[in-house]
Amino acid sequence: MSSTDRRQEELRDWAVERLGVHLDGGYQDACRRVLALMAEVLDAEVVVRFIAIRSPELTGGTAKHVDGSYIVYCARSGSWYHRFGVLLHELAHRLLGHPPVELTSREGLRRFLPHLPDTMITLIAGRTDLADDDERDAEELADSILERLTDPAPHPRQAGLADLPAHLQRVADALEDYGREAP
Amino acid sequence: MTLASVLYLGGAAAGSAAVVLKLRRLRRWGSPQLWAMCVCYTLAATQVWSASPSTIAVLNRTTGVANFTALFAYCVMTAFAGSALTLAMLWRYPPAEAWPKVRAIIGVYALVIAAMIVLFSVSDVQVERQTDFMTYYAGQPTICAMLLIFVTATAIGEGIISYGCLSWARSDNYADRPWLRRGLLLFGIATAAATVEFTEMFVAVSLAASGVHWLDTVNTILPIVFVLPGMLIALAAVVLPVWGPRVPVWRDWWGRWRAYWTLRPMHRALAVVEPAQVFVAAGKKRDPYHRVRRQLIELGDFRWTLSRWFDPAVAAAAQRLGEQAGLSGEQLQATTEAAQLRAALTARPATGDAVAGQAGLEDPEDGTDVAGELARWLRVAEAFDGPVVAAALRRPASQAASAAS
Repeated sequence: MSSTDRRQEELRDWAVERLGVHLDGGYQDACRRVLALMAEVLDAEVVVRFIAIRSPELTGGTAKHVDGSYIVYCARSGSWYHRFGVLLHELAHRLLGHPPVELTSREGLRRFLPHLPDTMITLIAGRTDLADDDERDAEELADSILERLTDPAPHPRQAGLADLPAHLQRVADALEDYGREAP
Repeated sequence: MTLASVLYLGGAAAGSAAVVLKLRRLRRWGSPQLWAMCVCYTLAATQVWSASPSTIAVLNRTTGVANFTALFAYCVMTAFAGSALTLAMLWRYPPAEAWPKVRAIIGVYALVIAAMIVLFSVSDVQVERQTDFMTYYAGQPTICAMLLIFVTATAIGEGIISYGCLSWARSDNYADRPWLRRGLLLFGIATAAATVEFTEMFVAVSLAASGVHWLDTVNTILPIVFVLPGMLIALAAVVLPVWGPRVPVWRDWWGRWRAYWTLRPMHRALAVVEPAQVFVAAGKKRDPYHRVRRQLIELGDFRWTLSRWFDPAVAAAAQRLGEQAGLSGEQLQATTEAAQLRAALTARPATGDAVAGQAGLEDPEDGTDVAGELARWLRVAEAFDGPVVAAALRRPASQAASAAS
């Protein structure tokens, strides 16, 4: 495993632990938790706006306010699962410490995000097409977090041996053999 | 090669496969019952291999002793019965209690084998008999004694392990371990079949020794008929407890690939709106969970892009035509969604620039796992190339309305 893969795994595990393993409250609730984690990572106030973004390639972006707070813009998608995926991508950029993606002019920024207040100064990360390495890294990390939270691959599950009589534990040990020591 | 040889060698292959499976899992020295099981299957495979007519001919020729292979196969079979009995003791009793019994079993079966060798060596068995050694030579007292000792010791060993397995398999304690119960049951059936076979041998040898040859043919044919099914059942007995619990995992994995292939045509059709959004992580091309998760996120992206060209007239037409086709609820919703996506795909300008208004104002779907989102997109994918969507794209809403009235 490369150091990059290992770092991605560490970041994933850390994020999953902080977000909580179960999504019992649904994706909408999970989106709130993503924003809370972003606030923790950025050490600043973070709010989200679900909006109609005018660029067909852009589904999300994070902008920094002059007062130090952040606004995360997310496509007003018809699915909270999709919105959750977009917000995880934004979080992944922050976790990976990607440098800001600065648009060349305020006009350019406004073309994509007409809702942007005048006091917003920088688009620090946007979810655009995935041709760029940083975008792919962020999407890969977001996917691995999403996997842990919503789609863990099933594993063989067996009831424990502890409740079985000792002689049946020994039978199970020889026939199943999952590496336990039978009494 | 005769059919009998094929059946025996097939049985030996099944037994060898079981040995390999158990040896792969023999990671520690401290599991005597696992060792006993490995020895048991190794001896069974060896015995079946040595009892094949083609092996008999080769071994007899190589050793230069007529019918040497008969003695060899009987000795191995006796050792197998001893190992099966040892396994039963190691299953039934804790190691401290089992070891004295195991030592006694080893001693008794070693004596049995020694007695068989002595009796064979003082006998006159010059005519090679590949399949009917027992009944051919049963009239010779020393061979008769050897055979009766052999079948008795073997039937006792097989019978005890069979009784133990079939009893334990009925235990309510295994309610949560159905695959283990099946394995135990099969092991019991395989050894019970062998017990029946050795009981028949005892009777056939006894009759043949008294000059009655009623069971000679049965005694020759029965082992040939039993060998392959018996060894396959014995193989299944070790395979099922290990691989059975993984069946739900394999079913889920296969189900996810099926979902991938169901979504794929629609995903490919919609991907033209944002081809750069399609992403497969390195090393995950063959991971169906990753592939489907990506499809769902990307379908969300494509829908988001296309939603600005959603046409209410198409939605109304799909709604009406779907109702006429008897659709309702989630199916009708999916059909309307599919019609909207296909219409938007056609309506969108080639440049992909944003134009009209922005959809996505509806109440978003929520959930707690990927299953709900996947089920929704699967319904859309199934409707995507369906006749209702095709009709909705051909007929504006007004026409559909007039047709309905």
